[in-house]
Amino acid sequence: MFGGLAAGSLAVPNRSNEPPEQLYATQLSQLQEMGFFDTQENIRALIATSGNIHAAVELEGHPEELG
Amino acid sequence: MGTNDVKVDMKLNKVVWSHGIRSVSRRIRVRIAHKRNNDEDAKEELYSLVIVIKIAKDELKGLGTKVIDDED
Repeated sequence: MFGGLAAGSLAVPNRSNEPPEQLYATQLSQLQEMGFFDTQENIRALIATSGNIHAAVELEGHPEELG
Repeated sequence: MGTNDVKVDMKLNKVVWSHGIRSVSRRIRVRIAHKRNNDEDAKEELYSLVIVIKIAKDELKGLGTKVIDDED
């Protein structure tokens, strides 16, 4: 699991025109498996952290920081 | 708690991950409550609901288990 996460967080996407649902599809499915079921909240966390799932998970635990 | 069906509260899940994937909380206080399953298609009559209890970090050591009689 951590190998996959490391690969994900190291990716540097250049497809900024892609909608976040596709850009962060891998991270979104990982968040779902961890019990974060609010897809819109997940997308906002991933956008705020540029797709870094480690930082996104911390944000989800402190929803007040998402603004 | 003697039930096959155990539900983890959403807030508890968030607290578990709130320090990040690589540094999950080592101690956490939870309350487990018996509930009646009101779902039409539920296989079990009862389930256990696990919720988080907010406690200051330095008060989490040595608490042990406490039995609470609730009328709910």
